Amino acid sequence: MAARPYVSTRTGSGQWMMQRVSAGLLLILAFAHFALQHFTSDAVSTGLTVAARMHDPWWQAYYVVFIALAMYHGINGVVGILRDYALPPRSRLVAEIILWSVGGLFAAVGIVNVLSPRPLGLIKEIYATHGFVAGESRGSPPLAPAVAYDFRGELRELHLLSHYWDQHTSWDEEQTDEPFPERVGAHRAVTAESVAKVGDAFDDWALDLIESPAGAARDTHHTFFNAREYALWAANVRRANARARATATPSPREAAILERLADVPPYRANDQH
Amino acid sequence: MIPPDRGPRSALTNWIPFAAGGGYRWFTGSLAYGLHRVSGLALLVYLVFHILSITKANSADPTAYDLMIRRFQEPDFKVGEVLLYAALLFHGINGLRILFVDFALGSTRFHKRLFWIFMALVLVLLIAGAVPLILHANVQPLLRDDVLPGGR
Repeated sequence: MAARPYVSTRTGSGQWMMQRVSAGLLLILAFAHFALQHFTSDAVSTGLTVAARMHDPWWQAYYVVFIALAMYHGINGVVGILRDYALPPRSRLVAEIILWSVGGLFAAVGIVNVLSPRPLGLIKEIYATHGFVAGESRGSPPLAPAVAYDFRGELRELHLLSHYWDQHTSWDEEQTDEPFPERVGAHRAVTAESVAKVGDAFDDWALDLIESPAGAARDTHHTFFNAREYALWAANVRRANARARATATPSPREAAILERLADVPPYRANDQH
Repeated sequence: MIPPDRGPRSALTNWIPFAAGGGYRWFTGSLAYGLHRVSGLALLVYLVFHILSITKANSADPTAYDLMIRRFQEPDFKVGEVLLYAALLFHGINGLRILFVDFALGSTRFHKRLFWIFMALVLVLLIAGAVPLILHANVQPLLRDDVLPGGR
């Protein structure tokens, strides 16, 4: 029998090719994801915007493929590095089994999360009921010192509501006015009075819209399907935030907001979704 | 017999023990190889933490996620964000070069020049991206306290 040539390049050539195939796909997926999260308005990422995106089956498919490919490419890369160190076969087997198991576990955590988002309506109700968040955060991984933030202050709250209006609400310019008619470029001094003025104008705008059925067409490509839904939600958020502020330090300002928004019906997702 | 070109000796690194990379002669290729491994391992570690931290957005209290994202805008995490961007750019664009060298006919002949051209691309994209990241260009609604909210 003729001696077979020793063809070492065949060992692992499947992994070699798969590493390059996954690399080509990840080039597109990873850079698109990073650009979206850091260089567009989606850099303002909140529980609400994440829930809204995971509501879309195309985005779910994107992230399932992305997580699976990224973890495969990463673990396959580490396995390749291990092979360079030429461990004894048994140690190598154990190391590879551990690497693939741990990688598979973390990929499964991510994929399960992508595939089982809490309903968007529930997330909206949580914000509408409790308002925006205040508290300490260390970030993640939780090694850094904690810093306290308060999104319930009226100026901070209005900035976020303005962002949700601009970027996440479907509305018709011919049917609905702007809730924030003053431009950022106006450079007016930020004082308690000027903030209150913007807040008052916003409440008047929202109360007007809540009472009228105008502009209530459903466009599910946005987080808020129409201007009226946004107005009802935002008025609920403003009321919850004012209540939280009034609990901490009662003031005539919070009392005025609470009185004005007292009759706003609660935001119920079932009425909208 | 012509001795193989093993590259220039580095008087700068000869005193470092061989096990720590001291006796190693660095070529364009070995530099790319080393950086590709280091950035790849860093990205894998980041991927694990990223998967775990993003689960907060899908927890019973999604508003806690907002606090975490706000914390990421502080200077310490900003440094990490720029480093992440640098690792992603290097690993991705050097990976593109590897795909070229492996699959494009003839590109092994000028792979050194290709490396430095691609590194120039990494540098340009790094600077172009780091400026808006450091200036918080796209997270103004989370941060601005000196202006009133306005229209688009």
